[in-house]
Amino acid sequence: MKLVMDERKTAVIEHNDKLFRELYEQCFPAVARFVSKMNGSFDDARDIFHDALIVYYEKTHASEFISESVEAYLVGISKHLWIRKFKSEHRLVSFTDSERLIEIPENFFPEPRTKMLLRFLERTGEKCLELLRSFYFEKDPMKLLAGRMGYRTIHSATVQKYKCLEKLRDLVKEKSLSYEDFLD
Amino acid sequence: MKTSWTEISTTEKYLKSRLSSEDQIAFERKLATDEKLRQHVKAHKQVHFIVRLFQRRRVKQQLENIHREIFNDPAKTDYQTGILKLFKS
Repeated sequence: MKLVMDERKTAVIEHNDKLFRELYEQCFPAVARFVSKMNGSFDDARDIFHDALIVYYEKTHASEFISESVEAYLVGISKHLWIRKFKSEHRLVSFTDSERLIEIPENFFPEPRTKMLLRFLERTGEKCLELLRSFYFEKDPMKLLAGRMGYRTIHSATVQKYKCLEKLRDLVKEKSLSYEDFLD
Repeated sequence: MKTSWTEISTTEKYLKSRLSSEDQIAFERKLATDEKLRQHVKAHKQVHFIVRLFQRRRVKQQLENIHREIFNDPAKTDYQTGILKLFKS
């Protein structure tokens, strides 16, 4: 099973790799110009650009309609992320009408305790995190996904998914922290 | 006693808005009165969020590798210089 999952993972990574490299060449200069204008550093530009690519990736994955050029869209996302990350005032950043409409996930920059929980689950339940990640983010038909993960039937893949959900739920409860900020 | 997979399956469908309207109403009625179920649903939502963060972290690692390669590639000197000069004070 591991070999099949690794092959699948490699295919997805290679596809994203090509896309991300193209976007880097095409769009990073514009985002870097914006960050420089805001007196940010080169490292700030890199971090904001990576976060913007993640937001863009999630939006395209969720089939959200994007009407403008990728470059303009990534600059727009970067402006919102800049304000969110550095708690900058909106008036200090100029938005076009379409940039103003861009929405960033509410909890995009999670609190430290949330990051701690992720680290804990990575140590104790990484295989399950990986399996659920494939289910939720690799949007292949279930039959194909189950086959690529090395399961003979959709049923056995689904059973494993439920086992993993149960295991991770139990681990989350075990930590018994207050996670109100998790809720979407 | 272990949680039933029917409950996990129903919760998963509820959170993904894939229950029929009748089943959704029934589930929400049960939620209103069943504290244990509420805790399960809350933990289930948290797992969804953590899986999303895990996915983001994976993508971020990939992007960091790409960044390192691009900014160490001798064939991309013009590109690198064009960006780096923006940050020279």
